[in-house]
Amino acid sequence: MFMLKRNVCLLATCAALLPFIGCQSLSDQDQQTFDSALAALEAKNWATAEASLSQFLEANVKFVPAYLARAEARFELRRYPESVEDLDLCLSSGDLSEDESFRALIFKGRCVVEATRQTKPERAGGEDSATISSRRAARTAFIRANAIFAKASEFFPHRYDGLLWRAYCYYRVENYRKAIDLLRLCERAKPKRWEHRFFKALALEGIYTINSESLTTYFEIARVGNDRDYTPVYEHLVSIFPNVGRKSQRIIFQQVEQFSNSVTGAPAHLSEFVKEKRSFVEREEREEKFAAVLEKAQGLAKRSRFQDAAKLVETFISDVGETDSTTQALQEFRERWSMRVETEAVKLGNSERREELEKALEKYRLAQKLTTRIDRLGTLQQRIDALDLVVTRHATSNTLRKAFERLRKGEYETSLKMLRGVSVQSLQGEDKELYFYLTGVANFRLRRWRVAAQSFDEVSQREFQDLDLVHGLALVRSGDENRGVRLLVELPDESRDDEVNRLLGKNFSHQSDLEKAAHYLEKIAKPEQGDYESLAKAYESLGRTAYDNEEYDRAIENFAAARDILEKRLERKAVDVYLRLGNSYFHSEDFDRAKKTYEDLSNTRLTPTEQRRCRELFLYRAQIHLTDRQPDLAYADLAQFVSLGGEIPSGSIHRRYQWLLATYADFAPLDRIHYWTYMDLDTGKTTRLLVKEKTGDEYVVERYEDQTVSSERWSKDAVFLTKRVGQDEWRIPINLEPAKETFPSTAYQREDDGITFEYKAEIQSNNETVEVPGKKPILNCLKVRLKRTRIEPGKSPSFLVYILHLAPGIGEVQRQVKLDGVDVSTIVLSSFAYKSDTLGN
Amino acid sequence: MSASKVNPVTAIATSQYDFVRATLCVAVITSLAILGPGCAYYGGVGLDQYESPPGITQQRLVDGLYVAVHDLSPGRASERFFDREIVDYGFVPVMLSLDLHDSSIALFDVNRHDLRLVLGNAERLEAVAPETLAQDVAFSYWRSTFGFLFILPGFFVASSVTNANEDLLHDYKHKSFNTIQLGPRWRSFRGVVFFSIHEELRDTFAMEDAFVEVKIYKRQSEQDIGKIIEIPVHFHR
Repeated sequence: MFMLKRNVCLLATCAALLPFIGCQSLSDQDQQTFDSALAALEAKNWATAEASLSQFLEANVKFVPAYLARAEARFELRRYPESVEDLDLCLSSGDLSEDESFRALIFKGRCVVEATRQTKPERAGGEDSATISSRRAARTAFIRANAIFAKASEFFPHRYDGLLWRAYCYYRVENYRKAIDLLRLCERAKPKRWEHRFFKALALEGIYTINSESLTTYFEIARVGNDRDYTPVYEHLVSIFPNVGRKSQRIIFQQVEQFSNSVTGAPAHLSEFVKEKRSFVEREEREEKFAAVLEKAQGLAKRSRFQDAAKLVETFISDVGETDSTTQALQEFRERWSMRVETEAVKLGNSERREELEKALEKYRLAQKLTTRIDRLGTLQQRIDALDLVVTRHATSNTLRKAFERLRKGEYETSLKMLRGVSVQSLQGEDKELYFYLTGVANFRLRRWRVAAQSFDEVSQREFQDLDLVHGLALVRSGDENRGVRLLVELPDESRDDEVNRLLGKNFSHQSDLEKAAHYLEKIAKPEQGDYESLAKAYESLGRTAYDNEEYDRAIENFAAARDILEKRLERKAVDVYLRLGNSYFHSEDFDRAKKTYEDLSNTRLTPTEQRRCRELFLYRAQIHLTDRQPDLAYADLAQFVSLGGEIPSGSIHRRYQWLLATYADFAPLDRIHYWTYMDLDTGKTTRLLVKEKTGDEYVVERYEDQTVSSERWSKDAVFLTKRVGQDEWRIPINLEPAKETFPSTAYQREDDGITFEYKAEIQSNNETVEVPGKKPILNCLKVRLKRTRIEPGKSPSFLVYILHLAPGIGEVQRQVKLDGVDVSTIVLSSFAYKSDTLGN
Repeated sequence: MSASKVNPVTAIATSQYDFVRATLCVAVITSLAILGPGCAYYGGVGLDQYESPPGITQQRLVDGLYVAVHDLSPGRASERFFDREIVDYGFVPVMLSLDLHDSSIALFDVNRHDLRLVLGNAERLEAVAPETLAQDVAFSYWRSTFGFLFILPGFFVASSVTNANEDLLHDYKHKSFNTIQLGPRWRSFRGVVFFSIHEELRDTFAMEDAFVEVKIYKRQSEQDIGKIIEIPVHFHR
């Protein structure tokens, strides 16, 4: 197109000159037709021109300039093969000048180029979706076109058109450097032309892809190129539109829009491009504006003015409209605003003041409203719930605090009334604990044990004052002793009052856990009578247990404690305690204390029953006396023991007792016995001995036998009982000698009328048992043998032997008489009587 | 020794001996003269000796692969690398240079048979196997013919021709390629492609405006189907 005007002028000139140079002459009509065709050509009325020239050539077949003109018209009509035919005809005619040949060749080459461009237009970066074979074919075409242009350049090597189109062909076969070399020559040839600059920019894109230099070149060309000839530039700009930056896109759009609006006959696809990209560019513009707003908003956000930033964006959205990016930005500012509000809420939420808590709640709700993040929505909801609860709890806490104040003042019913107004379901954590604690305490004070215990059961935090104490007491008093005691036992000593200690003491006493019972009873600061009794009982029991287990130290400890309580606190005789304390001392071989304890006990005025209960003390004290080598005292205690119904234990003590008995017992209780009655087992006769008066150291004893009465004088001489019966004087050993461990014996003689009587008396045994008819066997009897030998001169001696059994405290209980080895009689005690006031003496 | 005392018999014998000796000397010298130029040897240097003229190579970057072609048909280059002016035998040696971009991890396959040398008149020359070329440019045994006149030198010359032809074939094979794959493990390659000039083109053959159409198979991995790229790669200006 850009060459057309010039060519038409040339053709017209040539055509006008031809007749003058004699080449060919035209008729007037033909000349007119040809002129009108040229005029149509000049007016770019290609179809008319082509039609006129065709009509003209039908009449003037050899008029070469007309072929050349028609070739140009056909070229513009894109009828390239026909144009090439005309041009070939021109070139082969040999009638063309060098200049015409050059132009013909240029047009021919361009026909090839344009035909190829129709199927394979240039693309940015040299890449397209064409097949390899089509691209190869295009390359072949451009090579051939290049050959044509090269041939043209042979006429005028430095002519612009030749160089330009060769360069274009090199560009299309991607020989960019060679193209650029040629385009540089174009620059020298015609620096004002724009085509070479356009192609050079294309070639540079081929080497370096789209670059600033090429873009600048396109824009410079487009800025001045408001002509249809510039269409390739705009087409190329449209083709590179997707591959350039946002700013360049806007420039491209503006330039293409201006071109399509201002240039008549601009290609339709450019208008379509404008239509298609308008919304895109407008969006880009909007985003650019928004970028400015966003920058300003970011500045506000940096100063933590998120609310202002969000409002700025909101204003923009209301003015310009909403896009993804604006929405996203608005959300971002709102999010940051929300986070800031949340931070403030967190600070306020830590306050104890209700007003600030409510403010925090409002802020949390605002933060929740502003955020769109699901995770934060959840978190904020949780915080709102929590704070809501805190606010509610705050009110509840006030109620609880007031209830507590009432409770402290002793207004239990009022306190309970206030607590009843609190919804338990709304309570949590400490408040819930406090609620149940206060309810429990109030009920406890009102002696509603079961309700109190139930309230205390709900309290899991056990740090409340005296909680376990009142809980335990409430449980015990409500009948749940086991649970109550378990709680009370866990209390430290200083937390338990007398009531608790008493309760625990009794409880453990009932459970026979006396040690614990004693422990708690001891802790009672102001004990009562019953406490002492319980404690003494516990100690006594503990002492007994220890005593039975032969743990005498513990036994002493407990018995002593029991004794002290009994004597000092209860002012009561502690017979059993004393006894066991003495026994414990005895068994632990602390004889001094044992003896002292026994003495204390024995010195106490005791009832017979108590005496019998305490008889053991005599047994043990006797053993102490024996240890102390005080056998008389030992015997006294043993005798007392026996008299109180005690039975001497078998073993060494029993053997010792036998000896002591034999030594110290009264085998002739003359001062206490009123009479004895014996019966002769052989004859059945009865003998009675009646203790009469005492004269000096002698007792007069009357013997009633065979209706005769005889009198005897009995007296004691150390271990002997001396009896004078008629002429005979009997010396009977009735005790052992304390210093000797042998049975005593005595022997003496008497002369009477020349007859010698030899007497011999001895204790043969000290542990005899005598069976008395109708009575219990008499134990611990001495067996004494008396032998009187009558020695009369001239006669054989005769022997009279008495075997006597003497019982302690009774006297003679059995007598066997033998004369010269023959049993004469055996008499046994049938009855005896102690002296009494009623019986005389 | 004086001349008057020369024994004629001895003198005749001596002259016969000298004749034989002279003849032998001539034969040896002639043989050596034949052997010197008659023996053949192959003297092409390796491609590693090629130094691209800096800044004038039109290297193309295609999807992470640098491609360049170098015309080795000019006399000096052809003599240097192939010990022949190969163009005279109807072949054009072109060196293909492939280099993977540093960031590329794709696989690129190039097949010798897919390369075309496009001449300025749009004629496309196809590549031939090195064996074909070697056969055409091999040393001739005719040079041994003269040596066989003297029998022994003929064998030497024939043997040297055989060895030189073997060296030539081996070198051409070594410099050319059939198929090459570049990838992360082999990132650079240089090889020669021999294009055959049609008989009818030999009179007008010129390398001006010629370029090579290089077809490349690109794959991202062994399993990838990949794509085919064909680009024109031009020689340096």
